[in-house]
Amino acid sequence: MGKKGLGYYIVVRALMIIPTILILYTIVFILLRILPGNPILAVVGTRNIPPEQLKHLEHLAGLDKPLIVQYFDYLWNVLHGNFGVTLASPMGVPVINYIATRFPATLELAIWGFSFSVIIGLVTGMIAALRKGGKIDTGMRLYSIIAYTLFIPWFGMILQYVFGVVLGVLPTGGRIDPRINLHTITGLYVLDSILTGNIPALISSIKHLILPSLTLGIVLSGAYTRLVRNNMVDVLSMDFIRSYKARGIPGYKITWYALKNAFIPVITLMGLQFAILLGGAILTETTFSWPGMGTFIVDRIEYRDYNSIQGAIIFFAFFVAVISLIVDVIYALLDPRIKY
Amino acid sequence: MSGNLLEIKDLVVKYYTLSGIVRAVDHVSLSIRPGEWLSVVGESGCGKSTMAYSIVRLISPPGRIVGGQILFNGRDLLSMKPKEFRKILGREIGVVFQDPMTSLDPLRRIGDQIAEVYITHLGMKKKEALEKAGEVLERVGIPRDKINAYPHQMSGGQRQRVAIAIAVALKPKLLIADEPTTALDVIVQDTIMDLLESFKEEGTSILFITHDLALAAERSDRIAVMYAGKLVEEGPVEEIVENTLHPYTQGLLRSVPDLWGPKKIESIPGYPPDLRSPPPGCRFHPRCKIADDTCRRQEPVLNCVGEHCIACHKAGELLKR
Ligand SMILES: Nc1ncnc2c1ncn2[C@@H]1O[C@H](COP(=O)(O)OP(=O)(O)O)[C@@H](O)[C@H]1O
Ligand SMILES: [Mg+2]
Repeated sequence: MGKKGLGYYIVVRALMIIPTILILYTIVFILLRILPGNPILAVVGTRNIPPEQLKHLEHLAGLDKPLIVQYFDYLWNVLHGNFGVTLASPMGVPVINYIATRFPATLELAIWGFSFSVIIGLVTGMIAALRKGGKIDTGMRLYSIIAYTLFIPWFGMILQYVFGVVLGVLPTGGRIDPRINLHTITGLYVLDSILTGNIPALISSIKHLILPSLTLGIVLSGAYTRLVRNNMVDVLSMDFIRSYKARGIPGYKITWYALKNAFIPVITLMGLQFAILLGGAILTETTFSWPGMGTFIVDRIEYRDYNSIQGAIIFFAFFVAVISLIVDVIYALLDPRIKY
Repeated sequence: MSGNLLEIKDLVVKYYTLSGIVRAVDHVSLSIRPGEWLSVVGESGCGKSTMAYSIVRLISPPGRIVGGQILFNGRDLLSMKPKEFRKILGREIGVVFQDPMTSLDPLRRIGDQIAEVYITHLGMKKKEALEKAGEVLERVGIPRDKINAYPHQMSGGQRQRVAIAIAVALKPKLLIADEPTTALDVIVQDTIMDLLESFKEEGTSILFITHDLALAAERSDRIAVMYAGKLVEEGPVEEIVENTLHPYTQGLLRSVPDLWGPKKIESIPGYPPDLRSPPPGCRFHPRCKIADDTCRRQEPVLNCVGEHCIACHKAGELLKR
């Protein structure tokens, strides 16, 4: 077995993260400068300010430097773990402070949404495959197409309306009841509630999580349903399944082995989907006023807060890249046929 | 009753496809005695696999067993409850399939796959089962330490040995092997046949399925020839080879490539019929040189002289010659 090659594989994959992020940063940098206005104008707004003072403020923010210098200045800072300070109200706060509170919110939403999508996808896909050609199969395939094409804000609003307004059983925005005091450790509220033994906070944070993560989860599950179903149908028709049957192996075990085989390609999809979560999270967060990275970036775009946006996106992209690297390594470890 | 291990009585299996009903096995009766090697021979598409899979109830939609009985030690396999039947599968009847490249689970170590039959049927602990798996691996000629290998790390021949190891792990009374050597090269083919024969010597009955009459003739006690879903000739191997009666069997014998002389592969002209609409009368008549009007109109029945059975209107004439 080529297990010694795994280290090499990881190093190569890790090195590939650098150009990916560099390209992303460049694109974001250029897009932000193309947008009309700048952070100072966004804050000052329509107020009449003498041009000299405006110049002075721009100088303080480093906006009077040539673009190429701004580009490398920020890159240099990021390489040293410094994401800069906010350029617009409130000014001068380290961007990393925002990331520290916003990122766990997004992560928590992503973990829940992701889990929902995988579980829903696996169950629906498996049932469809086991009932191949029947009504249930047709229903599940229809589900996958509908889920796949659902638009997050639209679907989120329906859920908000049904469960929040009509039934009134679930909150439609925020992460937790603001009256509850939760001592944060990791920033993942459910986990923190458990760690601090705070039952009201646990209930409240789970309630707040259900609708947004279900929205994200259902929309992302369509792809899994399809993939799991098709893989499972393929695997179930394979010779080794017939061989298992011919050995008197119980049916539930055979289903499990089939699922394992059908799951291998799903892991690749999971890596890809985690990247899609970035887009999904932004839409979900704005729909559910979820105080995560998505709403943070959207808020900051109005202020043209270059540093905040660049910092948040680089941080998020780095995280997504590391996750997809981990997923690929898991994939390689699970499938004995993979050679590095 | 008759001391047969397996008795197939009047088996009918059909595939209900969108383009028509395929009569894959049409009133076939066969039996195997304990410790006997029976080969079922016929061109591809004649219903051999369908017949074999019926025994282990591996016919799945659109296929269905429509009629007949399959007795194993006097018990009807087809009417058994699934749970009861599973106890026989893999324990008293082992199956080896044609393609060793795909008949093992690619994600599990071969040791685990072998051990599983001991765990499932004998309730052994994992450790003990793996020990047994190592033993049976050695028995089929694979070093014990391969127990930790994955299927993709072995050759086709080795994988087929593993598949055989799993099939014989619990010393079944019957081993069904469906073209187990067809996917392998000739030299490996021979070693696999030797291996199967060694299990016969230990008392396992073998139902061997092949399109290669010469290969079957080397090892069988009896041979059954199938054509277009029907049994056309059956008997002890010497009878079939030296006193061949059915024109189809004769054709199969002649189409054997001669390794020594100049190649004279005189295969039977034409192809087996489409089993959705087989020809009337004797199904072989369109390809038969001696067919007459009776053959075209009337279906022949299986008649036996001693142990030698044949379904052919011309059998009487052929016997006289
Ligand atoms: N799953 C299936 N669906 C439809 N027809 C089938 C299926 N399997 C086999 N058949 C048909 O049944 C007949 C017998 O096939 P098979 O038992 O595989 O023959 P053999 O093993 O002798 O080559 C063939 O005509 C084949 O086309
Ligand atoms: Mg076959």
